Order: sequence, then C-alpha cells, then structure tokens
Amino acid sequence: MTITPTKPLTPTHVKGLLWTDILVKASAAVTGVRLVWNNRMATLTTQSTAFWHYLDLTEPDTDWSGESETGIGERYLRYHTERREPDPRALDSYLARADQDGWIHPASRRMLELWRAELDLLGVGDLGLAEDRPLATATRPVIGALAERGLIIDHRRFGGPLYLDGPRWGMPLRQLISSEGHPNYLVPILRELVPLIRPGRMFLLIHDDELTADYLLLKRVLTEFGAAVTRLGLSRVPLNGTVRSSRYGGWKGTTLSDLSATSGSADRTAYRLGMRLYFAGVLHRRSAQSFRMDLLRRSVGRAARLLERTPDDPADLAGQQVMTALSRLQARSGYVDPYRLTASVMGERAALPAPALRAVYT
Amino acid sequence: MSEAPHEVRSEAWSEALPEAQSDVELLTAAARTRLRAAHDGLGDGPVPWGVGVAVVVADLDVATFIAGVADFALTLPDDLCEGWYRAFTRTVFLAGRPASVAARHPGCRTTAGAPYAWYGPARRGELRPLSRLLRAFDGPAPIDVPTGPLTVTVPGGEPSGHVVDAAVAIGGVSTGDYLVHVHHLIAEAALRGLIGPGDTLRVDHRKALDTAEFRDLLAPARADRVQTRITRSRTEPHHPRLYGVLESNRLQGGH
Repeated sequence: MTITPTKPLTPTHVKGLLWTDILVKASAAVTGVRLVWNNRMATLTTQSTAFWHYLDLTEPDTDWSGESETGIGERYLRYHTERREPDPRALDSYLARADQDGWIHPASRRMLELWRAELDLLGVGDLGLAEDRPLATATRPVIGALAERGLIIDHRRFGGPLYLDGPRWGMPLRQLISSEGHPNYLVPILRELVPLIRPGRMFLLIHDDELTADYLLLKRVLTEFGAAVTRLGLSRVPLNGTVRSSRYGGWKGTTLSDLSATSGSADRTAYRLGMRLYFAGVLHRRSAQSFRMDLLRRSVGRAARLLERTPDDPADLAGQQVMTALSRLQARSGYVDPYRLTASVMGERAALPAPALRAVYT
Repeated sequence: MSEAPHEVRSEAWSEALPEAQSDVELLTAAARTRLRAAHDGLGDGPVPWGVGVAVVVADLDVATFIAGVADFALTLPDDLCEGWYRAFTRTVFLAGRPASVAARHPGCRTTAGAPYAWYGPARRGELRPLSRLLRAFDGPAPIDVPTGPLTVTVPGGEPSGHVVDAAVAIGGVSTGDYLVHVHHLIAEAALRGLIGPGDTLRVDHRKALDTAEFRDLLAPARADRVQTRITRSRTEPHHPRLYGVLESNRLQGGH
C-alpha cells in the first residue's frame, strides 16, 4: 500500500492504516512480522512529481512550512481539475532527485509532518510510516531480473513503453515504464520487494481493492521469483454513497484531522480504540457502507466504557485466551485478520483486560 | 489500435503546390488504382465483409517480419484472402508476446519462437478480446533497418526462381508507421499473386522514394505487376507520399 503525500488522509486511508496497524501488531504477538513501508514508493511516481512540478510552476514563492492540510489538498484538487499535461522531460529531474536523494517537495514534506502528528495521535506512528530510505534496488537491475525470466515486453527501443507480460497468466498487458521513460507506481514496489524474497518468507500485500488487478499481477511476479504471496484487498470507504479517488475531493469534514477533532471529549486511548472498533470491527474488509460519523462516535463511546471496566482477572486468563485466538487466526491465513480478531475478542462482554489486546488496540 | 495513415483521397490534395502537381497527380492516380483494385476484389467468390487482422508484436526484426507477412498472406484460405483484400488489408498491431497470448487465444499463425503472431482475418468483435488483453503497438521512434540491401526468401516452398524487388521509404518513418506501410505493401502483393512461396524478395530501404525515379512503375500499364503504398505524408498531410513500391516478375512468366 502506498499513499502519496499530496492530500489529507481520508477514511479509506484510515481504514488501510488501521487494518495494517492491527494486523502487524497482532501478528507480531505470535509470529515474526515486518512492515515494508517506504515513502519513496509513493514519492517516486509521476502522480507525486507532476503535482510538485505544478506547484513550482504556479506558486514558486509559497512558503509551505506553515500551510494547512486542507490548503495543500485544495491545490491537489485544483491541479487535477486543470488537467495540465506536464512536459514529460520536466519531471525527469524531480524523479531523479526523489530517487537518488530522497528529495521531497516542501509541500509534501509539510503534508508528511501534518500526517505524522495525526498518526501519532492515532497510535500508528510507530509503524515506520515516516520511513524514507533508498529503495532496495535500482530500476535497471529489477527490470533486468524481470527480463531474464521473460516477464516483460520491452518496446523502449521503438520509443514505446515497457510492459509486464500479464497475458502469460491470462491478465492484461500492464505498462511499467511509459514511452517517456517514466516508471509507474508498480516499479518502486518491485524495487523494494524483489530483493526481500527469501525461501520460506511469506509476503502479504495489503492494498486498495480498486487496484486488485495490479496486485494480482504483482503476486504472480513475486511468486515467479520464489516468494509465497497472499493478498488482502480492502474496499474503499464511500463518502455519502460514492467511492471516489481523493483526487476528486469530497472529503471535507471526514479527513483524519476532522475525525480526531470531532471525538474531542474522549481521551486519547478511547479515541484509538474507538477508531479501531469502527474501521476494523464495524467496517469489514469488503464493506460498502458509507462513512458514518454517528457510528464512529458510538464506537468511541463504547471504547471509553470498555476501558473503564476494571480487569478482575488476576490470573490473566483472558490474556491466555487472547493468545490462543491470535494463534488460531494466524494459523488460518498466515496473519491475524483484523476484522476477525476484533469480532472475536471485542464481544459485548469484553473488558479489554489483557495487556496483549491493549497493545494491539490502543 | 494503431492508427493507420488515412487512405488516399484526391480531393485533399487540390491545394498542392503547382510545381508538385505532376508528382501529386501521379501518386494520386496510382493510389486510386490501388483502391479500385481492392474494390474490384480478387475473384467472384463469397466475401466475408468487414474483416481485419491483428498482429501481436513482441520484438522486431525487419527481415523475419517481412517473411512473416508474406507467409501469413499466402497461407490464408481463399474467402478470407478476398475479404481482407477488399477491406484494404486492414490490420492493427498489438504489443504482446505471442507465446503468452496463444494459450488463451489459439488460432493464430506464427512460427515457433517468432516474436510475431497473426490473428484473423476476422470481424472486429472476434478480435476484441485480444485487443483488450494487449495494448496498441506504440513505436514513435524512427524505424531502424539493417544497412545494405535486404534479401528475404519467402517461406512455404522450394526456391521459385522469381525475384520481387521492393523499395521502402524510411526517412521520417516511425517504427509503428513502418509496420503499417510494409504490412499493406507485402500483404496486398502476396494476395494479388505478385509474391509466391519460395520467391526472393529484395528490399531496398531508402530515405525517400523519389516519384520521378518510379514514374514508369507507377504508370497504369504496369499496375498489374506493381504494388504501391501511397498515403498522406505525416509531415505534409496534404501531400501524398510514396512509402513503398514493389514489382514482381512473376506474372511475366520470366522463369
């Protein structure tokens, strides 16, 4: 999963982040887990760099360090409305700097700073979401490795694109590098993941359900390199009945900062637990239910009541039960499914006594 | 779908410069001859209408491509020859690897290990699943051909002793357009019987084909053993350009 730092975090992003957070923390209690997250997977895209180029053209003198999330997000919407086709050569230097030096445009750096504060509050700040390091390998070796296995169709010498040979698996041909020479978002993912493949290591790809076709293809490619791969596609959270990419806006009042501001009266622990109960317990993996502030509020209220109950279990029997539940869930699919976990341990009589659960949910 | 250059229409060139008039007229007349020939068809048999061909292209080697086009056109059943010829040998080029496509889309003509495969002639709807799976061939870079004269033996038979000479323009021609031009030129010549199995095809790639030099070949009297490829120039859309011309000694019974 990659999120470009160009817009505020919406309920769809929050769902993805919380599912990832619970999944990683709960699975870590019973098995070894590493979350592979690297901001460069998001910044090394024409999606980010074309926006940066647009900002530099339209607002070369703006000081972004004090800009608000909404302010930057509105520029992102305007950029998509204007639909300016950037000169492809103008993006080259942006992509090169982002790749080699980890350079991030000040507007996106500001956005990451704003995200970070919200993610800390939400209790997902320790996932390494601010990780930014060079990708594990460069484009050329990873394309070379794909070519060795006969997985690409390379028309660059005709001035055309480079494609992944999806048809060998009955899937469409998928462009990886445009005829302008720009890799799309799949390339940084491959650059980061292919070198991590080891015998016996399982990869779980957590992704936006709308990108299933791409992730099915990624799964096939990684499998070709010897990886064991499973996928977890998460549905988007509709806003007022519609599922839209955040580039079209419509997220006013429902960004992560809006949510954290709304649940103002609850303390931080109740907010964290309530957000998890809602996004991973009320909304299931494929849920098509629109975001509902009233249900989120109710979840935060329920979280506060759960947290108030005093654990009366000196032997920590509940703790043992939690560990059993975690192991059982992990054995089923190789990871702990956040919705199943939330459903199985957060029943009506739950009191969240076990430290293991507190560690996962708060 | 790869965009085939527009077919020739003489009206479009009425504004052509006076000094170019004679060349324009010559090319326009030759282009019309080709259209009329396609319209008249090859024979009287039943004709499947509206058929086209899709070529899957993984890589390009000019010599094997030319041999492949000729072989494909020469091995088609008669009714499909007729239908495709009357449809002006309409063809789309798709990026893809033949071996990967063949498992789920059988029925192509290809040779083992070749980087091309031919589907059809078939109606557009029949080729649609294939074009959805693949992407239109995108090759804006100038065509790269081997230096020196190119000799291709047409597959499918013992050496016939016949020699077919073709001249093809490459100056300012993209890889994608080259595929279109050569495919029309060779396929139509093969369908008309100007190229046969075992023939020797000599291809002369030149920067440009000077109309004056080919004046004789473009004359109506030679039309029955000459194949042309004339269409609008990319750079001067109001001018017809000679992209390819081919002459066969087959119908003279020379050998």
